[in-house]
Amino acid sequence: MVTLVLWGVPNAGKTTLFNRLTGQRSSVVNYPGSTVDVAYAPLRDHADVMLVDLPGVVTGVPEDDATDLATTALTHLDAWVPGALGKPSAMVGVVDATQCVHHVALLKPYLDRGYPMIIVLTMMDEAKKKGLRVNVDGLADAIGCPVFPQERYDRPHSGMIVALATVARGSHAPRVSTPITRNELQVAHEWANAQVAACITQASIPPRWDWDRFFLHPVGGFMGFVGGMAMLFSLLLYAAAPFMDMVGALFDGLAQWVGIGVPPGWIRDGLTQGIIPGLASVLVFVPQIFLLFWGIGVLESSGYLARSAVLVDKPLSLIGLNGRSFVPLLSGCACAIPAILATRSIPHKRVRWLTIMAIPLMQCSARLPVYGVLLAALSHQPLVAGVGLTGIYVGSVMIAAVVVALANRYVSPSTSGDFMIQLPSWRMPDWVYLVRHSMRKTREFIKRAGPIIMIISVGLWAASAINVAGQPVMHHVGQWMAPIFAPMGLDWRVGVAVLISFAAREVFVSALAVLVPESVMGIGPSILSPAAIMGLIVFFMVSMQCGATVAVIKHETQSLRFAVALLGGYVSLGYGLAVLMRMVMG
Amino acid sequence: MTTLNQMHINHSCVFKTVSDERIRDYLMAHGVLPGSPLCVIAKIPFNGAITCDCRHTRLAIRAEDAACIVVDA
Repeated sequence: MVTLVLWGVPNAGKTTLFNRLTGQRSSVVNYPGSTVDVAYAPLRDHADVMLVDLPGVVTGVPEDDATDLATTALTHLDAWVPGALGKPSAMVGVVDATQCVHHVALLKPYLDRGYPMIIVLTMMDEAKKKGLRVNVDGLADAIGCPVFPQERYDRPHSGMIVALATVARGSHAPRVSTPITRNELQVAHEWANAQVAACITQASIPPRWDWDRFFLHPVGGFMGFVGGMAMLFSLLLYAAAPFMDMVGALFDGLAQWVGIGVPPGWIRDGLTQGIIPGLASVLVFVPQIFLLFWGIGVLESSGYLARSAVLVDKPLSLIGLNGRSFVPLLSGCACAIPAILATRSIPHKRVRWLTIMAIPLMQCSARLPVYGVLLAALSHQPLVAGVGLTGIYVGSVMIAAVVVALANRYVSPSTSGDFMIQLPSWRMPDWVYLVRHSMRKTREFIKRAGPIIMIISVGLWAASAINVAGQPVMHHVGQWMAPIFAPMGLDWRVGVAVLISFAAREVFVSALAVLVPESVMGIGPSILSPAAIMGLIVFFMVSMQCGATVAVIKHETQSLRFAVALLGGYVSLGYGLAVLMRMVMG
Repeated sequence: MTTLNQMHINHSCVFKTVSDERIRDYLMAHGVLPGSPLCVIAKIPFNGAITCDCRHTRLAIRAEDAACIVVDA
């Protein structure tokens, strides 16, 4: 198999090009270091040529885990791509046309080592907006390899695809690849400043408003940050409400139809008392989850995330994190697993581990249905739900700050490393891509949660319907476990739902709908007191109930002890805080 | 000797040298070599990060790290 690797600095447009050249739908983010893993797919119209997308490399010298992975993949590609040779057949040098000179300089050492290469100039549309004109033919002559321009939204030119396939089939990378030295890079930059810069002309353009004058302003920047976050969470609360009502009505209609159309018996009972309420209780939150992914996608694709990282670097440095921790932490509000993978772009190991420690405390999308039900149990006023949800997000950030600060102070005292980041150009989000991306993420959520909810709903319904010694099986199980949850003030049925939520948090809601049918209309004080509800909310905020998160933490830190300690620590802390909350509130 | 963190917003300078090797590598990788023009765009209060332009590249650097960067004002 012949392989082509996409090589370039972070945020040069490698993943966008990969998607265009292969028809894949990898996530694209306007933030340096968003690709942290190896992706591969056959080149469009050339199934024998495998195109490989690697994380961006800044200096050619490994400095973080993502860079290290890319550099290792350049010599041991077979470890990631089955059937590939150790070294790629050729390279596609991805160069951002707005930063052509130093991007080409970083490719020069690979050209000098004899790597067969084709250069693709991405972001040509942005270069034009900035008044930059690139003499593509002159650049190809200066570099000594073919150069193809590529605009952001255009399909790749067929000539480029053929040229890529030809260079991949007809060449082989050199057998020896010595490390790139600092002196070599210095010489490459001097060469690029003379040769490459001569191919670029700067036309005069009318001055444009620079959004960074506001978003990085000492006052306006922080106002924009708070406003942006407030808008994101307002979307979840208010924009999603009518769609959630529609989904709810759909399931109500389905339950009525089954009640009328299916003859009485265990099938009808299983459907109307198990599967349908179980699924409805979680799927009603799908519009909220879609909007969460969409809102985070807008921030990711506009370029605002890098600005946010700059704004929050100083406060984060006080607790041992740094600005680069912000993006994984925000991603944790959607799902902890990609957020933990995103920490690969943090160069300092200690900062990375502290960030991983904080991520499970961010409130992921699976918790939204739980909070929706529990906040509705406290009050049906939308204002209370809004204040409550804001309090949950703010509270979880505060708990995370305290936990990380304590770990930084007492477990591993050190500085928060250095912080340097390239700010990408502001871009209008690709709205079509964003909707598709959010739908794909939402579908993944449904696919992951759906089967678990169905199995558990049927199991719980069966355990509630089958009697042993005059009582349902579930009653015996619940009574046996009741002492564990009694200090939290939980009804035994709610305790069972909490225990089951360790399979997946959102299952708590479906389990509650099956075990406590009256909870569909809202949990009343006969089931849970306000103090117990508050305690339960705190328990879900802190407790780590996701097996996949534990597995990813173990994989990324290579430490089972760390993963197990986090699991035990957060479950114990959540339990302790819930009991304390109940005691304080009476 | 003037360092980057001492520069005011909208003021331009020329990069001379940097004492920290990691920062030197990072700046070089982004095309900031001795003699490159720099213009300070924004400064986050309470000694936060400094944002500056070098040709068409916009970089943000923590103030403590910017204190290692010597410039010609």
